[in-house]
Amino acid sequence: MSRLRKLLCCLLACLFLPSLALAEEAEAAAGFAPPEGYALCAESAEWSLYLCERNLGLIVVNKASGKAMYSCVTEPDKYPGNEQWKALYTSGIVMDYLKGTVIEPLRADFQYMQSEREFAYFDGGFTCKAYFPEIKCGFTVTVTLEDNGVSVSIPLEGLVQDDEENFAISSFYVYPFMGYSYMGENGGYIFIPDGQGAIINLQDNENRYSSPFTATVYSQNIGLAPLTTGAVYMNTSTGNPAERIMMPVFGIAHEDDRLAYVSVIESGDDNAIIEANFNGVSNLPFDWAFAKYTYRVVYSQQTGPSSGTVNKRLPHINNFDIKQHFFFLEGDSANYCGMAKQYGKYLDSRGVFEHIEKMSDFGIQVDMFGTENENGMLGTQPVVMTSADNMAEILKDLKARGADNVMSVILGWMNNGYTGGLPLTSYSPSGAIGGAAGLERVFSAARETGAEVYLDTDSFTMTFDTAGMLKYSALKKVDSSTYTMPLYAWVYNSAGYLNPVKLMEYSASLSREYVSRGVSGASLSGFPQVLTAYYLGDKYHDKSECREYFERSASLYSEKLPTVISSPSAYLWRYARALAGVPAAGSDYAYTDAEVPFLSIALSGRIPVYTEYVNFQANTRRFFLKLVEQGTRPAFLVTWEDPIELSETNANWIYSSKYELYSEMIASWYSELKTLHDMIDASAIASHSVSGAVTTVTYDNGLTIYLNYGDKPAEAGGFTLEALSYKAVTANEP
Amino acid sequence: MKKRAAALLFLLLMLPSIALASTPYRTFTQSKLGDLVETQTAYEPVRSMLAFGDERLKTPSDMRLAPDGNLYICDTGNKRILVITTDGEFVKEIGDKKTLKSPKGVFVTDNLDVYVADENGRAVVVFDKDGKVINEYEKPTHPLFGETSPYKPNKVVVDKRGNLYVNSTGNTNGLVQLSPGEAGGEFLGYFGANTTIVSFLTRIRKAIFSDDQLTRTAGIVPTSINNMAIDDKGMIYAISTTGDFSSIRKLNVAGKNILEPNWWVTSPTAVTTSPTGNIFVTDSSGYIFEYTSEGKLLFIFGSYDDGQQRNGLFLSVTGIAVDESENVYVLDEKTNSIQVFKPTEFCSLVHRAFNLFMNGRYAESKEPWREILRMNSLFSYASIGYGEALYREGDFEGALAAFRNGGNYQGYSDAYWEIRSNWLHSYIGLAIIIVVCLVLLRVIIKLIDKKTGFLSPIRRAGKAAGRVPILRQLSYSFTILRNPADCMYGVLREKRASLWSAAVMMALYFVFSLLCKYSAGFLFKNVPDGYYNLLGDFTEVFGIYLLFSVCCYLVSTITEGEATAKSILIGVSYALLPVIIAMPIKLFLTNVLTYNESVFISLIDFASYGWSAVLILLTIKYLNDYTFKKTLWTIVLTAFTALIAVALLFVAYVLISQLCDFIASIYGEVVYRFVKA
Repeated sequence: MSRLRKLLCCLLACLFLPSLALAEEAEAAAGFAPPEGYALCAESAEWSLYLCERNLGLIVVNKASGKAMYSCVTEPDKYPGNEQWKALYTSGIVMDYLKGTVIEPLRADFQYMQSEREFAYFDGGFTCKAYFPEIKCGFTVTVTLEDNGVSVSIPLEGLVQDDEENFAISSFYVYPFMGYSYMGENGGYIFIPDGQGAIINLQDNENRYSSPFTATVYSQNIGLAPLTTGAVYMNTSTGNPAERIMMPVFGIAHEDDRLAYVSVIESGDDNAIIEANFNGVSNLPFDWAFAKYTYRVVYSQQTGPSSGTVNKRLPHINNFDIKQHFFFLEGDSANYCGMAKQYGKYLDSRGVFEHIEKMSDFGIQVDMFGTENENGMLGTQPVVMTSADNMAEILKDLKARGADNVMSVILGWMNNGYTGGLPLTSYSPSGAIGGAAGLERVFSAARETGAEVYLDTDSFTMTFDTAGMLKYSALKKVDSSTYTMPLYAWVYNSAGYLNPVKLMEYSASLSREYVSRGVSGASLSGFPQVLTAYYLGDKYHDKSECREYFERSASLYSEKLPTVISSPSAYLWRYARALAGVPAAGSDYAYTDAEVPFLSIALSGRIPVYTEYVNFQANTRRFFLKLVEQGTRPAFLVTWEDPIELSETNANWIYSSKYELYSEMIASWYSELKTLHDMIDASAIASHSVSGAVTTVTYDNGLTIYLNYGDKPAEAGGFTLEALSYKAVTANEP
Repeated sequence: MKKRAAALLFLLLMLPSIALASTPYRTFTQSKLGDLVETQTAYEPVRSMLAFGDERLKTPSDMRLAPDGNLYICDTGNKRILVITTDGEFVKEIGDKKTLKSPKGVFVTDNLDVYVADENGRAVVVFDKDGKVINEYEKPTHPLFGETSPYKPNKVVVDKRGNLYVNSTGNTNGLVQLSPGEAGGEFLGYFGANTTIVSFLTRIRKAIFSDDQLTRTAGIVPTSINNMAIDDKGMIYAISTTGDFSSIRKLNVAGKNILEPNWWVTSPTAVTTSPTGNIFVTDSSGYIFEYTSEGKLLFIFGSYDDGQQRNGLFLSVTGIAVDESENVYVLDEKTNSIQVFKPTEFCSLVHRAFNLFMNGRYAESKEPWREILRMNSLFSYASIGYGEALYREGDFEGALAAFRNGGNYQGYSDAYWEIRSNWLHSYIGLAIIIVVCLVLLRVIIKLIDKKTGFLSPIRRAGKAAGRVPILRQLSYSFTILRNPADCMYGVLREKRASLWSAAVMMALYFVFSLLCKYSAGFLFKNVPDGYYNLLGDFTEVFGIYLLFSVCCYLVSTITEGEATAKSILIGVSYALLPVIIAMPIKLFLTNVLTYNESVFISLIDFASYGWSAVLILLTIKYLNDYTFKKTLWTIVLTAFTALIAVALLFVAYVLISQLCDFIASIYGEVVYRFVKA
C-alpha cells in the first residue's frame, strides 16, 4: 500500500472510529439500532431479522449480544467501485441478464435499475416479487427467519422473462455481501470449501491479490468450458489441478463479534459457483463471499473444426430452484469448528447418513492393482501386477499382521486392464489375473479374513482407443463436439466420457450382473467427480439432468450391494457406506491462511472417510500426523510386482506400490491408528485449534490430541512433544 | 486489530500444515529413457514473502544469499539493494536513487562487500557492509574491450581473488573480466563467450550470396549470457538461451565449459548452487530444475501461474538462492515476492544418497537408495546407485536388474559380462562335452545311414521340396551371392523367379528387421521397451522398396534399360539376401554380447548392408544391361523421382485433409442450425 493510502486510512480511522465506538456502546446498551431504511421483519428466540424494502437488504442481529451481520453496505458512497460492483454491495439480490447473444451479461439491481417490488409478509419472513420493467424480467424471493438462521429461496416458477428474445435471466447473486467486512476490521476469516476446508483471514491484504477464489460447486462444467489441460512441458502435463469443491458450503466468521454464519446451498448447488473476495481484489476494500447461480449463458458454437464460431444462447433456462440457508452461529460456536458441526447437523437433518446404522470399526484401505496393458508387437498385452491369487494372499497376510478390518478396492481387474478396460460395461474379469474364478477366490479370501472387497467400477470414463462402437455414445459438449481429454501417455492417447443416459443403462445391467456373480461390493469412480451439461439427441441437457442420471446410477448399486464412492460430491454421499479418496489437504492458494479439517469434523462419527493414497506422499510422517488430526483413515495402493513393470503403460503414475515393501508399514499404521481410534470411541470432534506448530483436537468424549508438526520439540497441554509427534490424553488423565 | 492479524498471519505462515497441501505442480525426474517421469514432491512451497516490515519490492531482478545468511535483493524499481533475513524480516537497504540508476544484478563477497551491476549507470558500484560506496567499475578503456562494445552491466559475480565477471546487456563477447582495483580495475579480457553455430543454411548463403547481400543479412553472433553464479571453488555457472545443452555451462578459470548436463533448459533465467554443489536453474515458464554437480537432472518442479494464485507457481522468476538447510528461495519480479520451498523427506533422502554415492561410499549409499526405490521404483538414479552398490558387493544378478531399471547401459554391460564369465567358467567343460557328443553323434548317424539308408525318406522329401516352385525360386536367390549376373539373367530371361518369391523375401526381411529392432538384447536395442510402431515399420520397409523399384523402372524405361518392373521388384528383394541371412545371427549376438564385443555386431551390419547395396547396384546394372556409369546415373535419377513422388503424395494428403475439414464444417453448421431446445 502506498504511503498516501495509509495516511488516508489513518485519517479516516481517526475521524470515524471514535464515533463508531460510541455508537457501538449505545447500541449495546439500548439494543440494536437499525440503520435508516431498515425495519424489523421477523424474530426468533435468538435472532432478529431487519429488512430494507428499498434494496432487499437484510441485517441479522444476535439478540443476546446485539452484534449483527449486514448483507449490504449501508453507506456505499464512502467506498470505491463502479456501478457493477456497487450493485453487488448495495442490493440484497442481484440478477445478471443477457442482452441478445452478447457473451458478457449485464447487471440488474435495486440501486441502479428501476424496479417494482411487491412485498407480502408472513410470520417469520417475507416474500418479494421484484420486476425490472426496462428488461421485462423479474423474480420472486422468499426469506424466512428460522431458529438457526435465514433461508432464502428463489423458485424457478417465480422467474419472469417477458421479452426473452432480447433479455434473458443469466444468473443470481444471493446476498453476496452477507457478513462482509471492511478491510478486515471485524477480525475473523472467510471459510472456503477447498480440500478439507481453508480459511482466508479478514485483514488488510495491501492489494496483494488480483483475483478472488472462484470455484464451481462439484465440478467444472466441462460441457461448456473450453478444455483446460494446465501446464504442459515436453508433452507432459505438469500441473496438479486445484481440489474440487465437494460440498456446497462457505462461511464468514467475525471473531471480534463472536458471530459467524455458514451458508449451505440446499438447491441449485449443481449450477452454483462459490466465490470469496478479499480486500484488494477488483480494488474493493471489502471481504465477502457468496454463491452465484447460473441459469443461462451465451457460449461460442464452433462451426468448423479449425475455425468459425457463432455466439449462441443456451437453448433453455437451466432447470432448478435456488435455496440457500445461512446458519448463524454465535459465541463459542462462531468459528470453523462450529460451522463444520452445523453442517454435520444439517446433513443429519436431511437424512444423508440414515443408511449407515453404525460406524464401522477402524479400518484401513488397501487397494490392489490387477493389470494394465502395454504395447506389444501385435496390439497390446497385459502387464499383470497382482494376480487374483496374489490378492488373496495379500488379504491373508494383512490379517496375519493384525489388520483385522481391511477395505480393499480392486483396480484394473477387467479385460484390457485399468485404462483400456474403460468404460466398464459388463462383468468381464481379466483372464490374465485369473478371470472370474480368480476373483471368486479373492471374495472367498475376503470372507475368511473379514475384509471388505469392492470392484473399482467406472462405467463413465471412456478410453477411445478401446471403446469401439461405444465412441458413438460419448459425452458431447453443448456445442455438439465430443469431449476429449489428452492423456499424455504411452499406450492410450485420449479419453472422454460416456453420456449419462448410457451410464445409467450400464449401471443397471452391471449392478444386476454383480449381484448374480456374487461380487461383494462396488467402488464407484469416474462420474462422482464430474457434473456437466451435455448435448444428446439434438438437445441441450443441463447439469441438473446430469445429476439425476448420476444419482440414479449410484442408487442402482447402493440398493443392491455394498457401495463405496471415490472422491464423491456431497449429493452422492447418501449412496455410499464409506467415502474414499477424500483429500487430506487443499489447493494451497496463496491467499489462504490455513487449512482446517472442516470436512473431517462435519463427517466425524457419521461415515468412514478414507484419504488419498499414502504411497505418493513425500512427507509420510507429516501425512500420518494429518490422519491423526483429521481422524480419517489411511489408504494404500499395492501391487504384488514391482511397479517398474508399469513404466511403459498408462498407469506409470504408480511408481511406488510393491506390497512386500509396504506390508510392514501398513500393519504398523493400522495398529497405531486403531489404538487411537479406540480411544476416540466413535465420538465426534468437538474443537480444533492451532497455535504455532501445535494443533490441538478435542473430541466429545474428552479425548485431547496434541500434534506437533514442527521440526523442533514443542510444549502443549503441559507436555513436551517431540518434533513431528503427537500425544493423546484422555479425559481421565491429569 | 491489524497487529493481531499480522501476528496471526505470521503464525499461520509458519504452519507446517500448509506445507502438506497439494502442490499445484507435479515433480518430475528423468526416467531411464531420458524423458520425464513423475516422482514424489521434492520441494513444497512453505511460504510466500511479499512484505518485509513496511518494505515492498518493485520489479526485483536479482537475489543472492550472502555469507551472513541474509538475502540481498536487487530491488530494481526502488533503485536499491534490499537486505532481509530468510524469514522475511527487513534488515537494511543499500544504495538509493542517487547512487544507483537501474540496479540489475547483485553479488556479496565473504567480507560482505556488495557489488551492484547498474545497467543504466553503466558501472558496477561497490558498497561496503555499511552501505558506503567504496569503488566503481566503469567501462574499460582497454583497446581489446572494443570501443563500440556496449558496457551496461546487468549481472556480476566476484571470485575469491576479487576479479569481477560482469555480464553486459548487448555485449555478446562474453563476460567482462576485470581485475580488482581502486581505480576501477583493469580489463583482463572476455570470459566464457557462447560459441556460434554456423547452420547449413548459413553455409549455403555464404557460398552463393554477394558481399553486399551478406551485409544485409543478420550476422552470426553468439548468444548473450542471461545470468550467472559462482560457487566456492570459483566455478562460474553461466546460463543462456542457446537452445541446446550449452544453455547451462560450468566454466573453469580458463573459461572452458566442464559441464555436460543431460537435460537442457529452453529459456533459463536464474542459476545458483546449493551448499552441496547441486545446481538450480529457473526458466521463463516458472519451472525450477535441480541438477547434481555433474549435470544430471534430479528434479523439475514449479510451474507458470496462469491466474490460479497458488503457492509454488510463478510469473517471471529472476532470482534463486538455496540455504544451508536446502530451502530454496525464488524471486518473482512480477509478483514482487519471494517464495520459499522446503525439501521433503523424499528429497532429503535423495540428496543424502547422492552425496554418499558421489563421495564413493557406495556401500553406505545402498540403504538410502533402497528406501528411495521403495518410495519410487521408477527413480532411475536410485536404480543406478543401488546397482552400483550391488555390483561392488558381487551381486551381479541384482546389479544387472537394477542397471536395466535405471537405464545404465555400461553398468548393465559390465554386470552381464561378469555373469556370462561366471557362467562360462561353470559350464565350459559341459559345453565342450556336448559339442564333442554332437560331433560323434553326427558321425555315427552318417555311418548307420551309409549302411542302412534310414535317412533316405528325408532326402527324398528334400528333393520333393526342391520341386515345389516357390521353394525352388527361393533357393535360386542364393545364386545372387555367387554370381549376380547369372542370377539376374535367370530372373529376366529364364523366369527362374516370381513375384511370390520376391514377396516371401521381403516378408522375411520385414520379420527379421522387426525381430532385430524389438527383440534385440538390452544393450543393442535402439528403441525403448514398450515402443512398437508396426505400421511405421511396414510403411518404411515396403514403401521404400516399392517406391525405389517403381521409380527405378520408370527411369530405366526412358534410359533404354531392358529391365521389366517385375524383374526389378524381384532383383531388389533378392539383393537383400545378405541382410536377411545376417539378421538372425545379429539377433542372437545382441542377446549374448556385451559392449566389449560390440564390434562384431558393427562388422556384421557393415558387411551385410554393404554387400546388399553392391548387389542392388549390380542388379540394376545387369537387368538393364547398363554400363557402371549409367547405373550410377540411373540411381541418382531414381532418388530424384522418388522425391518428386513423395512431394506429390504430400500435396494429395493436404488436399484430402482440407476436404475433410470442409465436410466437418458443413456438419457443424447443420448442427448449429438444427439444435433443439
